[in-house]
Amino acid sequence: MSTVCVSDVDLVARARQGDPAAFGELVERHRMAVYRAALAALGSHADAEDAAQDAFLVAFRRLDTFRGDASFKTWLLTIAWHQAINHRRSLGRVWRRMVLAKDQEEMESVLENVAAAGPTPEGATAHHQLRRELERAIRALSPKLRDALLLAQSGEYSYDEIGTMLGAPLGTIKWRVSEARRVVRAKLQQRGYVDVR
Amino acid sequence: MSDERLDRLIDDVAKQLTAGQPSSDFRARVIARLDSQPRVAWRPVWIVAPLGTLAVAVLMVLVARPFSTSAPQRVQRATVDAPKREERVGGQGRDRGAESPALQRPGQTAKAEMPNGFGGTGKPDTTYGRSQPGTRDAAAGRRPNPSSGDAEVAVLAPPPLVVPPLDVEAIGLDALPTGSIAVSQLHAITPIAIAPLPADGGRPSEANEGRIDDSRRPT
Repeated sequence: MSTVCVSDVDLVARARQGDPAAFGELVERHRMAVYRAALAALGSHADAEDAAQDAFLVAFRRLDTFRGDASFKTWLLTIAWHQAINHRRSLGRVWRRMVLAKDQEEMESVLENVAAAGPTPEGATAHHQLRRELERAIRALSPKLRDALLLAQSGEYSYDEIGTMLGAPLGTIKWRVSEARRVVRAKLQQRGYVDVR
Repeated sequence: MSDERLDRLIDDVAKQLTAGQPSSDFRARVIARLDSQPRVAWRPVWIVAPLGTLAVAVLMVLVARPFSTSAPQRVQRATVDAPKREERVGGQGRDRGAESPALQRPGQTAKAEMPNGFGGTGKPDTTYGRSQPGTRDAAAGRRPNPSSGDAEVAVLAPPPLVVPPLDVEAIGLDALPTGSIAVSQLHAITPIAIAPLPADGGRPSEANEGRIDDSRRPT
């Protein structure tokens, strides 16, 4: 049966009745949003994958508790965020190590590609260094500011959805994003990147 | 570098940090994990709720137990206190009824026997107040233990009250003078003649206006 035009609520109803294909369609629809939320919380692709799968398993078990007050996506993202935060707490040491070393390699490969697109070799190098400093400054933010900034810039979620996930009002989320930018700017200026063109 | 340009760069880097896709077989993995885990037909609350209730009940029993086991200790203490109390009152009586001035012999005063109040110790005698069975339980909102309460009451029961006979002289009452009460005859009352009211066109006269006809007054 085609599920292209079927709403999430209908799929949830069918999944509650034991239709695995319906829940599979829900997984397919929201896997990206769930995965990126986990990635924003954990910073590691492997951990994000595990956390996203766990989130779908938990959501499947709790399908009976979905009342439709919010959209299924918001409800699912809330579960996914809690799962990711639980992973992050259990992986506290690993997270710190990862912040300093592990994903540095991944990001460097990405940034090298970005830098390679620069107009001149000197400019590309400076741009590369700047992005690396930005990345470090973002990762060094407090969790509240960093989570809000990464979720907001992922392009997957509205501010309302971020507020629901993080359990904070809309105004608070906007303030955190703005504050995160200000703190990162201040750190860059402290390191002498103010005049970089 | 302007703040706007720097903000754009920050947003760009933040977006790069969350860029990525789950593996292509993500859906298959989730379904496989769902199939490997049988759906739980029961809810933990069905187990947790009775266990919680049982734990509360056990806790209540454990808390209430020290009070019930302390009853023999209270009985033992009361039996030890009883002779001391007799010594304090000097053998004049064993309960407060004997110490009451109303029941004392003429000529005796409370001050002579108890210069400092109860038993001369200057302190209130709280023996009964401390050993009253059931009182503490009632104050604490607990039911008294019937098995230990009967024994405690029997032990703490005061000895029978011995009240010496009162020396009261007989009160002699003189006979009151009882002369006959002579009532003079009342004067005869002349009958009152009531004439019918004059009917002036059905309206009462000015003299009768405002009066209330007793015959029409509701009873």
